[in-house]
Formats: sequence, structure tokens, C-alpha cells
Amino acid sequence: MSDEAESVRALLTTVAERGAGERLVPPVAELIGRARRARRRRRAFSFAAVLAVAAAIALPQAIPDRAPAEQPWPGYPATGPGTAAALAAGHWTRLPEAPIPGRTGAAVVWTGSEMLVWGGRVGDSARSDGAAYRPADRRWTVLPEAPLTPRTQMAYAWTGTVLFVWSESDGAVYDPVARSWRLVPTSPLSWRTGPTAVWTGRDVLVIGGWTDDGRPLADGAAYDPATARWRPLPALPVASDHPVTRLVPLAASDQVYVWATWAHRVNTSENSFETTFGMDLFRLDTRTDTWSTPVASGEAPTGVDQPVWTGHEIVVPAAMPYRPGSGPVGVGLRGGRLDPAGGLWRPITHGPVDDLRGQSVWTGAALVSFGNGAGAAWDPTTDLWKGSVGADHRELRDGLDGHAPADLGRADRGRQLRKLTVLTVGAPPVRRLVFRILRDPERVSPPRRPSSGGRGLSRSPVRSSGPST
Amino acid sequence: MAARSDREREFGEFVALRYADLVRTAVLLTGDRGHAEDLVQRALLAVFRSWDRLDRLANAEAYTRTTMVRLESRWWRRRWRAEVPTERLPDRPIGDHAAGVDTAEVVRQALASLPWAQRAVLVMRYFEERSEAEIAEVLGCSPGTVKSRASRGLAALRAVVDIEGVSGRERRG
Repeated sequence: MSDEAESVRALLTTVAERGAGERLVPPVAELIGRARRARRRRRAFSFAAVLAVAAAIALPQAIPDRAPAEQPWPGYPATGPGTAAALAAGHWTRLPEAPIPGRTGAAVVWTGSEMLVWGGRVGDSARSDGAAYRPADRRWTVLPEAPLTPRTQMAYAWTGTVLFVWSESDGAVYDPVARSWRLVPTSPLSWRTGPTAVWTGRDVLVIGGWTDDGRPLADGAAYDPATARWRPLPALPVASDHPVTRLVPLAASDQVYVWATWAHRVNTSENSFETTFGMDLFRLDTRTDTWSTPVASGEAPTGVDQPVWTGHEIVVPAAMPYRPGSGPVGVGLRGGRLDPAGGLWRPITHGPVDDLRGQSVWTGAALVSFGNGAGAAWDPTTDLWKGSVGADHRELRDGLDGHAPADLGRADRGRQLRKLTVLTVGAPPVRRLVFRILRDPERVSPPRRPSSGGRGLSRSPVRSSGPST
Repeated sequence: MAARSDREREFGEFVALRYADLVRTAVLLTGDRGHAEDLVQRALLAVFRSWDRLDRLANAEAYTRTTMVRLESRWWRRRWRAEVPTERLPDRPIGDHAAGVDTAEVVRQALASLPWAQRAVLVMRYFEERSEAEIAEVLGCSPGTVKSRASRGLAALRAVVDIEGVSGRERRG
């Protein structure tokens, strides 16, 4: 081992020894106990699975006309494109070659007639190029050069007439009819990366993000594209002992819901600390710019990643319960749905890809989730899932292997090293899913081996503790 | 029943013998002891399930370490964006080796700032002293990728610490 390698090892050893502390007690009995319990659970589960299979075979014969699992939820199309049944029976179509490379972290919107893709990241480089795809004539066009520096993970929204993009300290809007970009005025927001944006029907709200040194931000501002003016939003009413770690906004009619995860660490002695954490939900009335903490009963989700507003209710697809830092991989995850008028959270039936941390898309009549090469569609009317969406597409399965669609730009575990990027998603009233599959031009050879709500809605804060490092 | 008690006894001996070392490695992978112990215990539970297929102690340790990296890697792939570490290294003084405590803290912060893949490579390459081929197998990438990640990770450490200037006494912590 070289001198440098030895020095690095010495440094790492010091860090490891200090971090681990001196009094490490091997929890032998506890581990064996947990292992025994886990084995008993697996056996019980296997037995239950056998019973369930037997019941599934026997029951349809015994009860020819079964009722839906729950009372049907009104207001959604029962037939037609975009329904779970139609998606399960659908098939995939390969798109023509794109004029830009596949990417992650791009701004991607559906305008009603075409999909716009701009910015994002290809490999280690941020991009400032973009393209538009028009499904009607299956044609791509390159977007005009934007007046912005290359960037990824920006705030973006489609306002009905322009694509709004903003991050760091500046932004621009793109008008697809005029095929032109225009810089937006300087915002009242500080420099930040990773903000999120929602379109309220009148303003684009830009909130959250992180400072240059990684500190989360909880403020926001509203941009009115009609007047090209910004206004700062009032501060999120977070408690002092609920320091925000991330904001997830959702526009629902004239209200904007914001989930705020928080983690609060307190040193309980020189050598130990205690962290409490949880998730609060806030609501901004966009007519008055006032925040409130909505109160709802029922089982609120413990993790929120890609909430959707269906026009009738808020649907939160299954997500990992929030926990700061590393944590166990969740299983048996379930989403939730909230009728804001009724103020009642109801759990969604666990879906076949819910544990895979995939990507969810609302089609206008169903929620489609993809993960790890599998897809399933959730019918909001019956609260039932239909599997096999996309299962007919071998390349999709290869490309998605082990990757959530958000990571598809880096999907390189397929046997032939395909890069697959989700380029557009349906938005009401358009109900279409389009995927783009292409070979990565930079790496085609040689092939590699596969290798809670206002506090009224939040769950109780969870505590974890451990020795200080 | 005898087989079960044998298995549990052997597993218990393995845990008692290797737990502290495994936690030290996990501290480097996760950044703090609480999460490190979580990670080690999850890995050990997986090892116990496969105990009958292992060549006991020697094989069990390698299996546990690999499982730790894969579990943590899986978590990082699924993590929330909020927990993406900044790629900017902390703005700290360089190479004050007169204060070994500070040097270790700077290294800890630098390690925590690295992208997960680079951190994992540095820990496996320099702390566990695994070969590039072995690391490539664990991470599911090419040895060339391991080499480049190690190089970038080392460069990041060099930016905050004068690695070659670390004395023998400090190496022992």
C-alpha cells in the first residue's frame, strides 16, 4: 500500500473510531430474537399467501357477481382513454429519434399539443438545450436557444401559454407559439437550487430549494406572467422546533397545499442527541395569500413525494415515510386520498409497485405508477389496481430495471445499455403516456454487464436518538 | 433443534466478534453512529437468514460488509432529493495536523459531502482495503469507474487535508 493510501486509511480509521465511540455492545440476543420473529412472520405470510391463493381461486366460483371492494368514488370517467382498464389494455409505441440527448432533471411539460423538454443533466453536465415533440405528426423540433445558463432540477410550470423555468437566481419563460424566450424580472428570492413551482391559474408559486451550502429554504414568491411581476409570499408558519427539510407543494383549485418535512436535533448531553421529525401540512389561500393549517381526520400519509390534484380530491401516491438520514426500506406502503371539503384522509389500496419508489402520473381518470420495470394503474372509482401496464414492452423492462423513472437517464443496467427517458406525461384533459427509448450515443460499446398537515394532519413526531458523533 | 441452536450460537459468536468493526465501517458509510448501527443490524439480519449457506465466520464477514454497502446504496438510490449532499466541500482550513482532532472532523465532513458512490469506493478501497475488481462487483460497475470514483474522492479529500503530511502518530488516531 502506498504512503498516500496508508495515510487515507489512517484518517478514515480515526474518523470511524471516533464516530463509533468506545462502548459498542453487540446486540446478540436482540438480533437473534428479531431474526426468529422475522422467520415466524415469513412462515405466517407464506401460509396466508397459500390461503389467499386458494380463496382467490374458490371465491369467484362461489360468488359470480362480486361487488366492488368499496363504495365507488364519483366524478371520474368510468370508460374511455386514460382509465385504468384502458391503460392495462394499451400498448407501447417507440418515438422517433430525438434531436437532443436523454437527460434527467429537465423541465418537462405538456402544452396541450406538444411536449416541451428543456435543461436537465446529461452525465455530469447541466444542459441549456431543449426540444418539443408533437405527437400529432410525430415530429421533434429543437427549441430556440434560451437566455439562461445550463441548469438542472429547476422550478418549472406550464401556465397555459408559456413554460416558466427558474432556479439559482434567474429564470425565463418560453412561448411555444412565438417560439421565443423572455427573461423574467429579478425575483425577491435568494439564490437557491432545487426549488419547486406550481401554477395556481393566476401565478406561478416558486417555493423551497436549498442554499449553496445545502441548507433547506422555506420561503417562496409568486410570479404573475400577465404582469411580469413578482411578489414575495408570506413566510410559511412553521414552528421554531420544526425546522423544514423539504417542501412539496400541490395546487388544488385556488388553494396550494404544502407538505413540509422537518427534523429537529437536540443534544441531550455531550455525547448524545435526540432527533424529532415529522411532516406538517400547510395551505395557502391564493386569493388572500394567507397560510393556514388544515385539519383533517383519518389516516394521513406519512410520506409525500408526488401528490396530484384530480379536480375532485388530493391523491398522494405511496411514498416512503419521512425519516431523516438513512433508514430501513419500507414495504407495504400505501398512498392516501383526501377530499378537502370533507376533511377525511382515506388510505389507498396497496399497489403492486408501491414499494418501488417509482414515478406516478395522473391521466385524468387513473393514477399510473411505474417502478423497477413494472407498471400498474389505480382506478380512483373502485380503489383497485390493474397491473401489467407497460409489461408488453421488453425494452421498457430492461431500461427500467432497478431504476425509478426519475433516474432513467442513468439507466444503464439493461443488457444492451439502453437509455430510457420519460419524456412526457398526460395531464387533463390529455390522457397520453409517451416514452422515449434510445441508445446512449456516448456509451454504446462495449456493452457492460447488467449489473402532517398543519399539525392537525401530521402524524405524531417520531423520535430517534443516538450518541453524538 | 440442535441445528438451530448451533446456528444461533455461531451467529452470536460472529456478532460478538465483529460487531464493533462493522459499526466502524458503517459510520464511514452513513455518517453517524445511530444510522451505522441500524445499517449493521439490518445487514446482520440478512446474514442470519443466509447463515446455512455461508462458510461461517470468514465468509460471513465479507457477506455482511457487502450487504451493508448494498443496503446503503439502495437507500441512497431511493432517497429524497432533500437529502442529496451538497457536492461543495466545506470551507475549512487546510491541513492543520497539529490538531489531529480537527483533521479527523474535516475528513468526516468531507466524506459526508461526497456523492454516495465516491464515498463507498473510498471506504471500501482504503478502509476495507478491497481490490478495485471486488468493489466493482459490489457496486455493479466497471473497475474503471471504481478507479475514477476513487480518484475524484481522493481529490476531494486532498482539497481539505494534506493527506501525505499525516504523521504516523495521527494515523493511529
